[in-house]
Amino acid sequence: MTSLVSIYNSTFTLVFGWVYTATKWLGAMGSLVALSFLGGILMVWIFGKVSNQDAIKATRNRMNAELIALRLFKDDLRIFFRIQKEILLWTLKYLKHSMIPMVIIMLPVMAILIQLNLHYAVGPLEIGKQALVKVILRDAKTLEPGTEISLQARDSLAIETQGVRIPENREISWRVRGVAADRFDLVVTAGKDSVSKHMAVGGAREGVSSLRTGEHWLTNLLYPAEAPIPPESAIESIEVLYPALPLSFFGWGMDWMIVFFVLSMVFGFAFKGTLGVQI
Amino acid sequence: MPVHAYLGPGAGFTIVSTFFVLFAAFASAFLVLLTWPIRWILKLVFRPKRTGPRRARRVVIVGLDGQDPELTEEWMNQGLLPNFSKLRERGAFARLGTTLPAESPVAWSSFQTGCNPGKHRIYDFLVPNRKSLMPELSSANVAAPARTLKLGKYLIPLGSPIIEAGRKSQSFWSILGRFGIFSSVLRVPITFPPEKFNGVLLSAMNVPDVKGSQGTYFYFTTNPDDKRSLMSGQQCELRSTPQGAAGELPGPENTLLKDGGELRIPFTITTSSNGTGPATLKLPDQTIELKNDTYTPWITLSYKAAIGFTVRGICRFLLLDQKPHVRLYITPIQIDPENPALPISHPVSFSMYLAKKQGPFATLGVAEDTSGLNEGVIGEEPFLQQCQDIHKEREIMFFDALARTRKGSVVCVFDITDRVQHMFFRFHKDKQWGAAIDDPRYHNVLRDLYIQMDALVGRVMAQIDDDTALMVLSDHGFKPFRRAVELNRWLLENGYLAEKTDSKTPDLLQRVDWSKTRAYAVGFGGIYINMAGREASGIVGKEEARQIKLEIAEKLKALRDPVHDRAPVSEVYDRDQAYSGPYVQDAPDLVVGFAPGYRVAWETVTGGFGTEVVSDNTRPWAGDHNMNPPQVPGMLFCNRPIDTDTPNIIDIAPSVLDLFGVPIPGHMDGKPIMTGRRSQPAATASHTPNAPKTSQPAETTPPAR
Repeated sequence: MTSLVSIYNSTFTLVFGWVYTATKWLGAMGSLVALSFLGGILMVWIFGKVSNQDAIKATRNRMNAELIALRLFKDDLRIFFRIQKEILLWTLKYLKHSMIPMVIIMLPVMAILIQLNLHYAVGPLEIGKQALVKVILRDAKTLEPGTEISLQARDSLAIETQGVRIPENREISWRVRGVAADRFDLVVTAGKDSVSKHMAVGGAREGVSSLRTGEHWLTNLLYPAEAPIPPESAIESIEVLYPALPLSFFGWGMDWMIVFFVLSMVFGFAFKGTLGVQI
Repeated sequence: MPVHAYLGPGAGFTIVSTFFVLFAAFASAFLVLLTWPIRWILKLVFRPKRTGPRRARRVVIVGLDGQDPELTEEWMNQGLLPNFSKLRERGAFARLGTTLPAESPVAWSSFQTGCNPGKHRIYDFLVPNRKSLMPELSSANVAAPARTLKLGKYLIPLGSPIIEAGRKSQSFWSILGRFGIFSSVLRVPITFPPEKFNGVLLSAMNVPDVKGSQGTYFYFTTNPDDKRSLMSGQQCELRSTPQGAAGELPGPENTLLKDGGELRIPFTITTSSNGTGPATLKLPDQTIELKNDTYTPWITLSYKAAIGFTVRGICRFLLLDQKPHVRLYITPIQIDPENPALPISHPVSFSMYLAKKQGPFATLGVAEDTSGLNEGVIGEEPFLQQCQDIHKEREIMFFDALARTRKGSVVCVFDITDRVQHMFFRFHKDKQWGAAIDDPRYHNVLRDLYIQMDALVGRVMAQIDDDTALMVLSDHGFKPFRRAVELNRWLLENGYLAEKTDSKTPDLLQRVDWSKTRAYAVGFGGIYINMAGREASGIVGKEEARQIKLEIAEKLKALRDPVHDRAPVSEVYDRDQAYSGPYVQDAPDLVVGFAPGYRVAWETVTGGFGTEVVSDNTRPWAGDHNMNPPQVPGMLFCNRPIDTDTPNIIDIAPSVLDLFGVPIPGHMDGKPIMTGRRSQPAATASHTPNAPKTSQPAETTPPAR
């Protein structure tokens, strides 16, 4: 499974990378808008293909009919509340028809979100700013005195503390600080095992991967930028707690996921008619 | 990464959509509850007060257009109509006096207003425009907006189309509304344009199609030798292609462009290899499977007039043949009830509500295409199928209205009885005339239709309680139409009308030489005097007019059918004696009451001339009711006793008002007939066949009521 995930990760990351690169010239917000547009259209198209469009259309029509009926028959309270009941029933039917497409659509959406997360979630460690490098070991015994665990980095990153061991979490952490713009691999050594993790300090504003892991195929799926850590390694994961990548719209700071959520919906709604899809 | 927080646009849409629906529902519930006491108090203070006791919580009126009382009684007596019989036993069954003339627009106008035609101004389908001397629709006039803004090649309308109602006076549902009584009114003829009142209304007769006509069907064929002269349909070019055929579906005029011409939608048909399998119809935005002799469902058509301006219509396709030639019939393109180009309901959202709830439905005034059958484009079976499909749509909306109107009035008119009788009376063995065509396949069509109506009445009875007054009625009866009387030919031969020899247009009064004409005929039995000062080219003075009317009436009554040695005319009515009210001057000067079996010829209806005064009616349209009113009464069933043996259609409106305790306006000519006070039969309200009134027909003479 892990190898399959690796193949998928490398392929999809490459393809998405091309799309991302094609939109990169628009700036961070511009590219996110463009990707939201593509995502919205893709999702609506998939929704159209995997749902029972006739049933959804009929159900939506009934919901809308009952909404109109609220106005038409408002003077008779008993009828009015019967209509309310009808609305509730038809809404439940609509949800029933939407359930399977919703579940199916989760897969491509997650794939897109994972890639977006890679590009928009966190950015390089700014020069002079601090961050934590957190390593999870497979076995808490590795943290016992006698086993040497070290973190090696280039001079562009200062390691400010000794590794702080938290055996109950199987964790060891270092505080680091950005010194000069650089892209390199950190190396964590635990006993005889060494595992590297990509590190970004200063320089161009870009998305970076915060976690390299080998814990589980699903976790690998969520963090596709770096190859999974082999299961026989004493190290389970290495995480750099980078600062969030700032994203602003006319000076207004926003979370990339909210931007994608809203815009993909807006674009989806706007183009559902063109695509001939009932939502 | 919190991916679980977001499932994607599909889920997002679903959540947002349902949220808005539920939010709207609950917010409206909150608002209604919040404002209900205030509205209740306001109504209590400002609404006019009822003057009598309320004797029904709900009044349900089922109109069965043209259902004949004689046939109904005959089949009731044979035990074929148990529900009608039950109604007769529980309440009442009587002949219902109809209007002069006995035709739907007039009778249903009197039904809704309680007035004689002199007060509601509907005298016929077609009336002459006294200025242009051209026939025109009596009940509605649709015109383009008065002002437009010219932007380059575009003419942007400033305002909505002007729809002028021909029917005057007030409907009983409008009066009920003022007293806070809600009404659901469905497909009652002459309710276009829809009036504003406390209730919902779906218009019927006179609602045009998207072309603005009263129903233009289309006939396409690739056969170059198949040339037809269609009166109500349009034959269109269909080109043969290697795959099948290609053509263009005509639509409305593009009024947004100067000289915009007719909007058209191109289509192609790919036929099956053997001509019996399914064919494929391709429109710009959809592909439809066509099967031989099978109607498609309603198809929505979008005519694009300009960017952002689309006229939507709905129609059904019927593939008649694939080999050796493709032949295609298309119903008139009707206003889409979900996106109406013209208001066809009150409120406008009511037609949308119905369309969303039950799907697209026929909206045309006369939706059942009798012309398609009359002109030989479709056969009996497709016509019956069309009628039944439309009837099903009406039943769905009627039972929905019945369920949603617990208090107030529910009125629905079903047209299938009228349309099928018009086209299938020729197969019915009439007591006087026999059957025109002996075809066992259609012997029992009328009987089965009445049985179907009986079942409908049974379902209505099952859904009402004792506090509901139920009336099942028809506006007129039916008789065979075997012989056509060409009134303009008769006027010509008797020296009242002069003919121009140079006119190429055979109808629309274009061949009338107005300088020598003293009387002319238009519509279903109306004769007009060419009055000086009234008609644009009038030559007859008042005194002379009186004399001419007497002469014409006497001569017409003396007319004999040379073939059958019968009198085609039972009675001729003088409008001054037949009508009263502010619009009498718009009435025909004389109205001819034809004997059963006779009717005015089609040529006369549109202001044309035939070649013979009395001739055989050879068309499938061989049943009719435009005859002497006392000989074609309607029928009335009621679940409560009625006060008289001779009720009249003008009594229905005051009866409904009276049942709700609402005062009856003084201008109404009818009387309430469900007061519980049984009286002697009214001497003036005769429905007895063969008892025509020579001067004052009781059915239309308000002073006698």
